[in-house]
Amino acid sequence: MKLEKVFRTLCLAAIILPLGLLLLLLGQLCFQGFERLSWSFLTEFPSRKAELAGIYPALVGSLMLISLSTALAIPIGIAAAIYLEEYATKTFFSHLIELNVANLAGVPSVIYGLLGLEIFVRMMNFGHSLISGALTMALLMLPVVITASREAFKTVPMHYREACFALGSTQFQTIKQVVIPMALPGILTGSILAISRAIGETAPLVVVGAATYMAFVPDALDSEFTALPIQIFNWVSRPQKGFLIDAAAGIIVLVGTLFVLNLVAIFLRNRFEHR
Amino acid sequence: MNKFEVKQLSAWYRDIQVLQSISMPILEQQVTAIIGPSGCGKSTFIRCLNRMHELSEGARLEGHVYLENQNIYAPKVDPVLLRRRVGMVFQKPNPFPHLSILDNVLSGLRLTQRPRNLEIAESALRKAALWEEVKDRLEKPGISLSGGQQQRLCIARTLAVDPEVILMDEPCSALDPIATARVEDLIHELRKNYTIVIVTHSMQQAARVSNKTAFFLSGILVEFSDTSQLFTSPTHPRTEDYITGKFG
Repeated sequence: MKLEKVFRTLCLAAIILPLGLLLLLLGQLCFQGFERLSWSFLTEFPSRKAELAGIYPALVGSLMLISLSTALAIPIGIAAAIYLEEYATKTFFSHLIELNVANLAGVPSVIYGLLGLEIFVRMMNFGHSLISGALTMALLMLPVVITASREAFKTVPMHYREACFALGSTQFQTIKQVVIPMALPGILTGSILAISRAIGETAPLVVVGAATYMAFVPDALDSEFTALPIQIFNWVSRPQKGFLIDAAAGIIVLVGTLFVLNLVAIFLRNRFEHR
Repeated sequence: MNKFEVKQLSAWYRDIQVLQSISMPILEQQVTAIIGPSGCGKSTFIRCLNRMHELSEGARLEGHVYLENQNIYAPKVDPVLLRRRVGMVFQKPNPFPHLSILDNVLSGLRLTQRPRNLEIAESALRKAALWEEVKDRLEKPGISLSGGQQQRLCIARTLAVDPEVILMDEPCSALDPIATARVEDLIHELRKNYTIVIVTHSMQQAARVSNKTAFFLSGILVEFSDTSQLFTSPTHPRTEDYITGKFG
């Protein structure tokens, strides 16, 4: 009985400790950054004067970057997962691919940055542009989307596929009518994980060449861009104290964006689950 | 008249042979029951009749199955079209959980994108003796029904595609006695218009619903004859041992 209690307490501590530390950190940030948080902070461009600086180009840049890379990574990732789970015969080769995809999800993001720099910036000559950044981010998201979607497809019981086949459906119809709708909540969860990971990434964007100072908002695929983590990093590295407050406020904006994205995902998932 | 003519059918899962040179006819507009102990190959047998067997990993097959004198394993036969002629009802009721009752009935017709054909849905549900119970809640999820209703929904879903043959793989093994009786009544009704092959664990059920019975043992067809004859005067000693409960 005593052991039971000790174990229970240990498990409880395992939740409270990390969560508490995280909340403490967030609380401190909010406390610091709150004074700078205003509408003008969201709509102003960066400035040499800390109290006038805003996060507008970084926020717009991040949203554009995420939308583009999501639009690229999610359809491709789902299609790849469909191929691996529904079409590919289980051979040595397909196992090798699966293993590699799973490993790719764990590759440090800076490596993707280097890959993006070499392929998109230099070989394809896109330059240090929004599209280079988005393509690099899409690469980073792909393994996560593929792995999560595959897991989601695996949870669809075989007998539903059989029932669909037995009604005289083709494989495409079975995938479209049964497998994808039933796996959708899982796919959405995985996709949002990938998006959350991508929105906070800094290293690959630094390598691909995101701008640290932007006096305009990106207006084309090949225009320069910056993103929230880059702007925050830039502010943190300034000596003046005022910029630290800007950085704290920037972090609040970043976390807030993430929070909204997650809410949307949870909302979507619940909708599809309750259908 | 023979609907199916099965000739020297053997089937494997990887290295394990589950059917050994089965030859038997299946008569049109009759109910044929397949009985035998677990693992005797009876489910595999009916899965060979609508080419579901080949969907399993490592599945292989030899021999011929003729549906109205057409070999269904001929290269030019499209298994998708064949399965519309030869429908199947499974052991566990499995309406699609993301679809309503109505969409479940019509799922084989792929009409969900276009205006849904309510006439077909109603007629299929009536044939499956489910219409009166669900007509007021067609938009409710298929899985909101009871187990027995779900199984009749699955039968309705199969009927909506307008097949000629219905294969049933132990359709009542997950149902209570009352739901079982309803499905059996339904089988009596359906055999006027369809050819039915039913795999069953229950010898009483085979005796109640079928005209012909085949007894399978370890992948071998031991005996095939009129149901009344098989249960009253089996010719093979193994059949007698099984139906009198000495094993199985």
